[in-house]
Amino acid sequence: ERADREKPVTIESDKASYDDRNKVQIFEGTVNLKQGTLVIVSEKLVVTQDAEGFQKGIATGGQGGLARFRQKREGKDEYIEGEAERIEYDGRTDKARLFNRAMTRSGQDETRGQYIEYDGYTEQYTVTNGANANVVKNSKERVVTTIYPKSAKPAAPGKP
Amino acid sequence: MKRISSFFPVLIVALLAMASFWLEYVVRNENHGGLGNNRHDPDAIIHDFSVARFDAEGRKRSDLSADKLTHFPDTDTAELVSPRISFLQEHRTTTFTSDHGLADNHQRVVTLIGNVQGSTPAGADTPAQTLATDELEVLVDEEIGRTRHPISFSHGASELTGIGANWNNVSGQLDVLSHVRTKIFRAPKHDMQN
Repeated sequence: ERADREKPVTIESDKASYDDRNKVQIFEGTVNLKQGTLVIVSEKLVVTQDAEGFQKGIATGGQGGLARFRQKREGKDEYIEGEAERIEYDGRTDKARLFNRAMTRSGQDETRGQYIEYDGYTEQYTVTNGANANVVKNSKERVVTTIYPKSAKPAAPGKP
Repeated sequence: MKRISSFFPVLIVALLAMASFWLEYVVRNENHGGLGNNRHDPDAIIHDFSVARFDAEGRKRSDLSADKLTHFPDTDTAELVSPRISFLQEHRTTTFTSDHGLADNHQRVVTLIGNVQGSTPAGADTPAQTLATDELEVLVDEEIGRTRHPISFSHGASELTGIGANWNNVSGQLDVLSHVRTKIFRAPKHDMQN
């Protein structure tokens, strides 16, 4: 959702450490980051701050070695979910970048690739089969997208 | 009746003998027994106490001051009233204050007790930081503070609460040990995109 960007970020975890020298905060142990409707769940989260507050979060690890994120879509009652070995989230531009074994799912539609960049503001995402947003020609890693037809289900008959 | 009364002098002598044994016993271990020994009495009281510590190059590293210091010889500890410890780094001074303090071995380890407040003013590129807890054990020479109590900490635009913490002024690192909750506010500003 667009309003997420203006919301404060809350993070819960088992442990945390602030490092003033290189301006970094590290959260460890069932880390749960929330900003508006966005939720990122991971084992470790490294947060860098700028003068105005939250800048960037890098989430790694989690169940099955994958960090997960979930965000409500603008104006729809649908959520987009994603998982990857590493999720980098930029709080200012509301962009989430998923690295290695990346997958995003919205409703039933699913997209897999080595790298996915999801822009929470424009709700567009780019997928590449190579890591770090570069395209690897004829490699066995393919981008797979499955989009289910939204069959116009008849409205459920109103039961008396 | 006469036989009993003839015992009377023997009784007196026995009594006297016991008295003298008792007297001798008391005199011999006078320094152990008695009342005054286990009392916790101060031997020195200093008002407006302050000590500064310097490193090998002669740079001032820390300041410890208090309104009142009461030293107790039996435990070699000192009780401080409203103690204040400040650590001086190149460009940052971190200061801790509290209601009371308990210091031992020449004020090298000071435990701040009650309403402990720590603060570091904003530096060139580091935001202002504050820390609040109930009790904080401060190792003055190593410039380390640690607590097992709940702690709340603010760092520029973010607030953090947790339980238990280790703070190290030299490395500028604060570790919060459990139950961490953080809230990071974004300063409202006009965003270039909208």
